[in-house]
Amino acid sequence: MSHDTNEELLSAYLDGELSANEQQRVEQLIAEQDEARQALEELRSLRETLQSFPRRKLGDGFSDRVLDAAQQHFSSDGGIDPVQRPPIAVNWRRFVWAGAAIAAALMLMFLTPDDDFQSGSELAQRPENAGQELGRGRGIELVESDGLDNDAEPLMRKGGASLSPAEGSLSDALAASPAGPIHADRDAPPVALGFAANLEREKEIAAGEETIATQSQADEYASESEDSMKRRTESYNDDSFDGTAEDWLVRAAAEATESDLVVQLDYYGGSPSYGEFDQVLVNQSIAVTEPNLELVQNADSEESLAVQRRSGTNRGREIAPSSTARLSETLTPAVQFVLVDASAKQVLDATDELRQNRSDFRRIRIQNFTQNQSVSVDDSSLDNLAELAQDKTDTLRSQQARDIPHSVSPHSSVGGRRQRSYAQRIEIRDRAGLSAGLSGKQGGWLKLSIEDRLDRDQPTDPGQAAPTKEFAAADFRALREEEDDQEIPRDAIGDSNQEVDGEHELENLRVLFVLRSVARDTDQSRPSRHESAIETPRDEAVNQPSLPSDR
Amino acid sequence: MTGTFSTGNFSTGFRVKPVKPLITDDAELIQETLAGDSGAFGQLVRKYQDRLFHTMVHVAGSVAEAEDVVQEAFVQAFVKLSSFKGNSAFYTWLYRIAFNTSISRRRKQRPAVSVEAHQEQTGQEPLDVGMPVSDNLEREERAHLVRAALEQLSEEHRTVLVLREMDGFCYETIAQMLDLPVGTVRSRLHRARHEMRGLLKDILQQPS
Repeated sequence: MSHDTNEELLSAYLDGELSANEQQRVEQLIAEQDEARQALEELRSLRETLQSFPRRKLGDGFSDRVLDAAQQHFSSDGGIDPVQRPPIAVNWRRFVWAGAAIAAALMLMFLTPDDDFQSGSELAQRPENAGQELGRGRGIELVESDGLDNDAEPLMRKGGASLSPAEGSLSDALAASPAGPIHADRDAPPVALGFAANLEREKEIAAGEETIATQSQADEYASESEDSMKRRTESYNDDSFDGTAEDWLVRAAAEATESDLVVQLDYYGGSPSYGEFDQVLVNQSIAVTEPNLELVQNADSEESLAVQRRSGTNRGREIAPSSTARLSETLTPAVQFVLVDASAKQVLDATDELRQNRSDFRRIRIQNFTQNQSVSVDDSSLDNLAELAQDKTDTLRSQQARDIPHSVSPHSSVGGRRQRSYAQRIEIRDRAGLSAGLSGKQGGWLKLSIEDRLDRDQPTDPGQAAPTKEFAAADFRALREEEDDQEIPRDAIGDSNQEVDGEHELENLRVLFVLRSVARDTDQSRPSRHESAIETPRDEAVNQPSLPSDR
Repeated sequence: MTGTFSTGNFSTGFRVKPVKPLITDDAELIQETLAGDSGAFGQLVRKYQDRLFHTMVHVAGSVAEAEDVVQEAFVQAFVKLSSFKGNSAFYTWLYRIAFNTSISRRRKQRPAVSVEAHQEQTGQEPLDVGMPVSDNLEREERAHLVRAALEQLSEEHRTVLVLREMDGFCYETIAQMLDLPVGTVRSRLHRARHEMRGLLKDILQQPS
């Protein structure tokens, strides 16, 4: 190990930012080398000196000066003081979501059938419900139908992206959505995309169906308190939840399927056929969980939507030829959902291949609702991003990537065999600091974060975060090469508890692919508000300070 | 045939996965500000002004410039508060505004007056009266040398060093603030410390 590397390790050791493996190496180094001990002492001394600098203060009147300056800013700028304007008025979408949430809350209270609905307090008095966790254990119901059946009746009738008809602006907005109109369904429970509470299941479930929604689940649903409804309302009132009505549908689908990640692929010329899409999945060895989830209009109620699964798809490798056409008829433009299990790099590789396959590709949008983050990248920016990421992470890759297979926590030794699991997740970060290199381009950059799960599960010093390694997009390739070297068995991937001989394994993400076609001349061709927000700091970077996103 | 599909805790379709919570007090103050109470923002300013100022003195290069930067950053934060999503700590967001503000101002303005020069002019730096005089002098002498060394660092190295050593931020937070990979933060910190050790070899090898 080079002297420089040792010094870097010592520096990070001082900060408590080493992986368990590195920590071990440094401790050994300190035990063996006077030079290392001396260097560590000097680093500590430097820290003490820096921390002993007198703290400077601005004085009590500073906050008044700030507020005065802010007032002047508005006066001179002709702007509107944010405190004089409700933030919800900033854009109409926030109003829409607030409306949706309020509508949902109202419908929960008023539209649920009386015989199934009990107030939270009533339910709480029932001993069998004591300790019941709200929101736990409810399921969505996916119904298979014959893909060749022309009537294509979704067997699940209780579904519905039920939105209050009283919410005129919302209904209008949704009707204008390329994803198709969504109507209020007064007869259905207020659920999204046909998931969740199944209050009328006895009379509506078609023969042969099975459901995991039980009476107790309905009770749980009914017992949801006003507080929890309020919380939901607030969460939908979150500014981060921006986007169009179709975004809302995608989000709901992601929620329902508990997807870690949503990859939305937009095409101008219509969604790719399933066969085309599936070939990419095969090429990337991506396992399909649910091959063809569809968002369809409920056959016997125009006012609700349902997600359904086709039969006879054999894990997604075959599909009725008519399905794509029928889907297009059902919803224009087509939206198709495919749920897969894939590692982060598989997702990136697949999206790369998908965008190259078609000349009418418009954009890839990757969304991680868990992180409340999303970013859109267009065709041209991907290469830029890759270059930028490459540039930004040379050091990282050379110094850290090689540690991955060897970064084994000392307490992860099981029966003499090393065991380690990594959790992968993609984080989308903004690029305030990268904007100069991306002038005129859209995009963001992707960061793969690998956590030592074993470390995380161990009791740790609360002040010390679990060691985390991060890689930018370009590092996926390096990572993949390393994995190839390790020859990780395919069947080991996805089970974080499975022991792999002496090496690591990668946990898969549940990824919902959303295939859509978009018209060239619709609003969809314009950047979303989110994208615009990303662009803004770069455009203003020269003349005024860029305002970072707080993502 | 019907398939069922478990979704764990998915409930009504209107639940969303938890948003990373704000620090409670900050969240309340932000909400109150957005609801029209500018006094709440004043509280936020008072809460963070000195912390931000102390850091920005070393980033901006002078006390006066740091004060301007901090003020401008708070104004920007106030103006754009409705765009704050709460996915990071308010201070992290605020720091990034201040950092960007500092860089932007430096591009436009004259070379900043150094901390040293400004201190000589204004005598603003207070002595810690809680320490004996001899300790204070020795401490001040060390601080003087370290500060001079700090100014010799490149901006990118000085910034990570200040954020880590003076503010105590973890690598992840620094990475968020500066929009860098964590590995780069680690590497820059190492470089900054390496340079500082070289510049301060004599005093660092003595007990502080």
